[in-house]
Amino acid sequence: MVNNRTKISNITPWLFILPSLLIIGIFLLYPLTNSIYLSLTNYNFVYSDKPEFIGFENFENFFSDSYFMVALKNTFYYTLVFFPLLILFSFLLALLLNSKIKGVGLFQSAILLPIVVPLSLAGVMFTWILTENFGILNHLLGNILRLPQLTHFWLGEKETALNSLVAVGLWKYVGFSVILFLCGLKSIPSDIYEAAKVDGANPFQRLIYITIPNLRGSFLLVGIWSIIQAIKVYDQVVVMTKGGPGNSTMVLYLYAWKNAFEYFDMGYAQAIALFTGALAFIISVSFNIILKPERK
Amino acid sequence: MFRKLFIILLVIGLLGISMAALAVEKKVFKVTAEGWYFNKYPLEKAAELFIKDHPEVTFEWTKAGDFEVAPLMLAWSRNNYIADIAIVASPSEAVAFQAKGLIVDFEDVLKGEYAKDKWLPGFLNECTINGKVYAIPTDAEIMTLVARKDYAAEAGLTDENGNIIPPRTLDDLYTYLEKLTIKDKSGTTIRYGMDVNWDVAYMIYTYFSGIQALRGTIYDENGNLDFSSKEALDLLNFWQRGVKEGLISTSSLVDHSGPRNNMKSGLAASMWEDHARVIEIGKVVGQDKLEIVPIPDALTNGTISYCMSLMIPKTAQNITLAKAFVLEQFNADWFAYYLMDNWGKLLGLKRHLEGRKDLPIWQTISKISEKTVSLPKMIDHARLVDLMTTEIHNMLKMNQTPEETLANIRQKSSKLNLVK
Repeated sequence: MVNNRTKISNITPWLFILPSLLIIGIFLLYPLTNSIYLSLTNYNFVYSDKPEFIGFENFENFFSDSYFMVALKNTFYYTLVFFPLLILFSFLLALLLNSKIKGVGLFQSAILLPIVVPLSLAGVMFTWILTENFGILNHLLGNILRLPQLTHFWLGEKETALNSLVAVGLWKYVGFSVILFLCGLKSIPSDIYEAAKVDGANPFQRLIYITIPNLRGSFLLVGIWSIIQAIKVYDQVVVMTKGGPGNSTMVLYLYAWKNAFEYFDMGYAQAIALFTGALAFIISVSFNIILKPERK
Repeated sequence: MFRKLFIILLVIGLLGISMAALAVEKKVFKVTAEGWYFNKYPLEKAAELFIKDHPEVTFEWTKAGDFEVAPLMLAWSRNNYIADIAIVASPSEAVAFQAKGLIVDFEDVLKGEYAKDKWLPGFLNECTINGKVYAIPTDAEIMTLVARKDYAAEAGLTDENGNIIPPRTLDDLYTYLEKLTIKDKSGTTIRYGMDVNWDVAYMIYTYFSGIQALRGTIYDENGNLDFSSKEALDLLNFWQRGVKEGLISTSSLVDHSGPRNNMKSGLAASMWEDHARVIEIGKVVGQDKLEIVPIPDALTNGTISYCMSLMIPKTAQNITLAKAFVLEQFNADWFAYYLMDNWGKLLGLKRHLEGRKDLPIWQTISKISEKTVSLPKMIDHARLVDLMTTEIHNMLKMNQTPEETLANIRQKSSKLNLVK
């Protein structure tokens, strides 16, 4: 009797997690395994009868594919610019929103509003804002501020296209990371600040020695999240530049998509997608190791 | 008693309704098309007229994204019935569908007034795969120049009748652009002489329209697509120089509608794109102010034509009806003239072009179309398009020389499958 009960109690937790396991198995593990298999094959889903196993050839081809290397370089550039700027802006905005300035509620809504705007829609909107001849930005710079030397063909010049995409990404994602920082700021006990004030610490010292160290978890979270967002950048590129002009805004996921759904080269596309996923994973884990609080 | 009678009447009533419903059960006829077709093509009216002759039919419309080929291919590969007619791809994509055996041919219905010789050959050739017609041309276009007559007159580029004198060489055309371009005191262009459509959707047609017009063929002496001739180099030099000098706008690098928008707003005096834009732009600036101008030597050598295509999948449940709809309504005279008059779009039957020959625009198009050719079908069409777009954009915006551009295209396209 006792044995039976033990057996049942051993099985029960498994029964509870079975639905989740099934869902994960069907929608995550199977596609992932299949994707790994396809990445090791030569498979054009229009012209090939079945996938042909070629080992790591797709991955080796990365090094001889100049367009892949450009996409990799652009993705790195996007990440390296987007990630620190997002952290900086969202941290500063969170500090501002956490202060007791008048009208902060309105400001808060304005910052959080982009979260509800779909990125594709934001892309269309910014395409018009950044248009060379009819865009609001150039109109503002050239006609209102009388600074025509600052006007650009923002999305049509190699020098400004990728940076414009970074700016749109920042506009879109800053609201969410502000929330993450605000949560961190609210959780810092006020008595620490009061004690520091009593000890004569000025606001800058309080920021450096109290706020920032206590926000380590928030920095970690925003950091990892922003790296993942940056490496998987796709939507705004498709809507705003399609990777152009030339290949100046081509990024890894767009290149993977092109290979899969324009060239029907599923094997190579899967290899690029897996590489991109692995890249995001490795960078996130590294960041986690660097910033994770040490156990004492 | 009353309750029993009520129940009997209710049962009889329900049975009657069911019988009536069964009697008028209709065949659902599914049409999938890219979203913009629903704005420009009178599909609803065509359906109404078709229903008059085929009262058993009811239509179901589905809007697809532009070039939404992959989802259809996957669905049809799995034998899913999602459409009787699909208008979502160019004939180059039809090749992929045909390779998979997913579409039916039209050979059995191309007879009488729809016989193959009744179609404009360039367009029907595009839809012909291994000798059989697997798609019907829709949105058939001829690459050309469209120019503002009023601006040309101001620049002294018109004859005594007010018509633009066609430029004979690229040098002539360059001089035209210099005369048509207006710059302010700071040297900033305020009106471009030309806007060329270099968007990925147009690039291959724009480039080869120039090559065909200048050389009379799109192939080099080895029978490969021409990326090596003197004319190819001249063309790229013309484009690059025009952009550097501020005579040619690069709006199309980020927006495929850029050239037509610039024409509509008066920011460009001419454009290098498909002929149909002349009607669309004319609606804004006035039809009398526009003219189709042949690319230099296009009247002698022709240019490039291209079309979108309409396909019937093998999984369609109403194949005979679908073919009937395509020929009876989609290619009816009223349908074709509506498209030509309102959007400048051709369908593919010769008689429609003949029927509008009294109008100058269609006269010129008819002349150009005589020698016009279509691109060959290539397995790696999409890769070649992306390769050309990337390299030519790099030339226009990144100081890559025309020689390097052609060399890069030659080198990278040598690995592609460009089987004719």
